[in-house]
Amino acid sequence: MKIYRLFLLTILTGIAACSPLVDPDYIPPEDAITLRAIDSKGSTVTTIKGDGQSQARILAQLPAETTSQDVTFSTTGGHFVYNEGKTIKELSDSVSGAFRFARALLQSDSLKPSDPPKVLYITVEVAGTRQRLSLTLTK
Amino acid sequence: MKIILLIGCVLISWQTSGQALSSEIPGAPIIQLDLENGLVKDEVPVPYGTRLIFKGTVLKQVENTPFNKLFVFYRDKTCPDPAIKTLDAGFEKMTEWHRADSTIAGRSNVASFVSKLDPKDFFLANRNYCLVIRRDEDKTHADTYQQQVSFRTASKFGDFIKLDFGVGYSSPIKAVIGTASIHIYAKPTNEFVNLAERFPFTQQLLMRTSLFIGIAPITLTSSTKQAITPFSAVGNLVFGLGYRAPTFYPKHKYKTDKNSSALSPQGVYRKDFNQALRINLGFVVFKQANPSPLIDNPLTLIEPYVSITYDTSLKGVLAPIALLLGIK
Repeated sequence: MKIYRLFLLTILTGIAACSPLVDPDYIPPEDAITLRAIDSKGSTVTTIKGDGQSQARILAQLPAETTSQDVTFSTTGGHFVYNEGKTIKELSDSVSGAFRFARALLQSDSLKPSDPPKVLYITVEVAGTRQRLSLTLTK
Repeated sequence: MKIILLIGCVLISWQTSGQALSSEIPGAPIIQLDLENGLVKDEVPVPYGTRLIFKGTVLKQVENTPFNKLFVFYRDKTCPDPAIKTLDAGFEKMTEWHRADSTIAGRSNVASFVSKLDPKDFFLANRNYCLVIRRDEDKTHADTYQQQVSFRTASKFGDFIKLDFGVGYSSPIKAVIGTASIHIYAKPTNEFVNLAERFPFTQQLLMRTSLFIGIAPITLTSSTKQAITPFSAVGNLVFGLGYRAPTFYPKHKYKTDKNSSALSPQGVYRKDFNQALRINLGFVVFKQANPSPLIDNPLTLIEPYVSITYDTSLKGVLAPIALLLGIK
């Protein structure tokens, strides 16, 4: 009766391998850019002190199968430490599990005592796809 | 281009199919018996479930004695040594022997004979058999003729493999696909054996069921949100289970006599048409572009499909087309 087991195994393998069809209007979260800001301890932050010295690491998570490794970070406020500019290109060459990562270090602007809190927008662009993150600059 | 390739494969399989070794019973091997020395002259591979035709010459001392029937007994092992000289009245009741009478074609009092063996239980492949052939069963004639001969059935690799072509439909992707696949059987299979004979259930199942793997080079229609792309350069991959002759089971109305295995002309055509038919349940492997613009590699997906295919024994069904194209 071994042949019947092989017949059954074939059918069960096929059934187990069936999967939903691709919906072009839906991109699973794990296949999109995930952006977050973290402090030196690795905790996610949503604010940064506007003292001109505080820093936050901007972490861009991409699927490991991403074809292009070039990641462009840009910010509306503060500057990136490595080139003192508002835009920087990094490589997403750090792979962990099903994801690859790119990092950039952002330093805050100095807020005057009279200035209200300010929102910074950090944008990441990969292969024509963009994701945006907001950080609040506090006194 | 793919359609031309598919048609070409059909025509090539038409030319090369047909492992029939006898013109008298399609697919039945001819075994030459040397009854004087108790030998089989030619070793002929005997696929699973096939019938046999024996040709031989009778011993000189009986060649002028009329006889029109050979009583044949066989067992699933080589012949006993020393040879059996006489048969007792209760011989056929011995459990290790089966009776399978054989009718002789042509005139009865001839030196040579052609005998069509139509046993109740068909010979299996890769087994040793012993035949005891008697001219007279009840020993009423003084010159009763008897001989025994051993032979071995054998299968070829090609007996396990059949090629077919057909059309399938996959509901999840709403696709009509043309398929070409190779079917692998658990037992050697003779496509000419009449599946309407009353084989045991297990034998019926093994003779009809197969695993298959193949390609779907043609996708006639499909309807999905994301377009389907071929799994490989030659098309999508298919695999699954096939079941041969789903509409052909033991019935008597197409036989000339319910106690005989001979088919009427209508029965012959029905057998040839239905036995080449196969229904399949399988899976088609294809690709779709990843919806994420970050990833260029397409996703590989599997969806079920059902199909109807015809195996390579297409000659009986498509004979008129063959004549038109000048294919012999």
